[in-house]
Amino acid sequence: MSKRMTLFTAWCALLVVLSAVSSWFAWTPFSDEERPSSSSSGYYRGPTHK
Amino acid sequence: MTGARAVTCPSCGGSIEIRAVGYTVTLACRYCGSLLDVANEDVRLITAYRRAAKNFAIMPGARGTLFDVEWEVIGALRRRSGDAVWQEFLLFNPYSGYRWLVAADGEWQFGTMLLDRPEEDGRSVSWRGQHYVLDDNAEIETVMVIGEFYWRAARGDKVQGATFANGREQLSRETSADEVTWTQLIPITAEWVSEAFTVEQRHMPRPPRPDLTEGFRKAPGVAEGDLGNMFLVALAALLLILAVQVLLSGPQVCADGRATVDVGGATTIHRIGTVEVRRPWQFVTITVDSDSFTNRWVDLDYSLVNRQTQQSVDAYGLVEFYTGTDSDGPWSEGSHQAETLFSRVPRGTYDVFVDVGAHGWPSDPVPGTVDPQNPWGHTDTVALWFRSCTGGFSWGMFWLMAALLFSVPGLIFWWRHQD
Repeated sequence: MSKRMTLFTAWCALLVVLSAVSSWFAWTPFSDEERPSSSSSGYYRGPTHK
Repeated sequence: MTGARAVTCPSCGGSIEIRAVGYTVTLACRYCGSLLDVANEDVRLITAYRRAAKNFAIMPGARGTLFDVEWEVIGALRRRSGDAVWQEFLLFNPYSGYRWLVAADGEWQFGTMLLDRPEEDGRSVSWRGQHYVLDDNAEIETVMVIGEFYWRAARGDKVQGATFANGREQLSRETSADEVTWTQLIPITAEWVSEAFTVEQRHMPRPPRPDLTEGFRKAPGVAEGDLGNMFLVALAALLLILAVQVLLSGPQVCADGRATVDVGGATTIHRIGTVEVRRPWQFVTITVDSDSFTNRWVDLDYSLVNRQTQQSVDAYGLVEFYTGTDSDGPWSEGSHQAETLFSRVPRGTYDVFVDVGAHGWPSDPVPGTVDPQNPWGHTDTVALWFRSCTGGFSWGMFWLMAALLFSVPGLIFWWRHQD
């Protein structure tokens, strides 16, 4: 296995471990607590089609 | 056959017979596999091994008649190139000399060393009026040796092997640091070989398994180096991440609830169930399904209220669906379903509340009014069905990981093709 391949495999393994840790602690970078609530002003509702 | 000479292996003490006396230079002990120098009267140990090479389809010492000549198998090699593995047997007859018997992919070839060198012309060669085209060119490694050879054969020997084909007949060129040898290979049937020698079918080299990723590896820009493998490793890691996220999100316990809200009316609070988080931290997912409204949106302000501490975790959801017609024709946008994900919810029992407000687009209808087109209809309301569950799947995390995994091989691929 080439050095580049070894490093990339290690990178993939690191991401798998990080994913497992984040799942265990129920952490996500994009949860819906972050979304603006209905009381927030300036949030447009309606179609964005046109 | 020629008169044989017995020697004693200096490594294991086994008695070994040399069949091609005077020609054999290297002997691989059939008992311990050690390589011996038998060119001189004094047998000298070249490399000591502890285990003899076995599992050849034909073992040295076997005799058989091919092309009206009785041959004795005096040596056997297992060789490989990439994923392909095959066996070569050195045949000897004191009057006819040496020949090769090659077993690869369940097929046999009979090889004769060329004394006259073919004329090379780039990717093709000519020999005795026949034209042969380059078929394969790769490094070949010897991985097992047993028996006797007229050259210094050893495990780990590497040569550059090129094969030129004319129909089913081939010319093989092997280039080492010392010499270039040419061999003519003609196909012979397995039945013919089996009639001549005792062939252990279970030790025949197996054809390589079909590589399902071959097409992918040979795609433009992927076949170079290990880029194809990088994409495959990234894909495998992503599937592993998917499995890990699913396995670690549980246990899943759900509660159902329902709410009805007037469109354009005041927001109303509903308790839509109770969920119990049993792990130190867990996702909570609330999915909502609604009736078939159109040109409405429903704001959903959720609160998970811990029964013990009365602390709440809040999140926002939205259900919206619009239709219309423009110059391009009818269009629709949105969905009657929505999912809201709470992260890092601590262990505890939670009452789930939702503050619901429904609105019309482009403007709210007046509450309590009746649609003039449907005077016997009900007041404009939206019905909602909720399901609150512990556990959940973070698609955000999944796609973030996918981007990080594929960014490296993707960047290499882009860099190679930016021109």
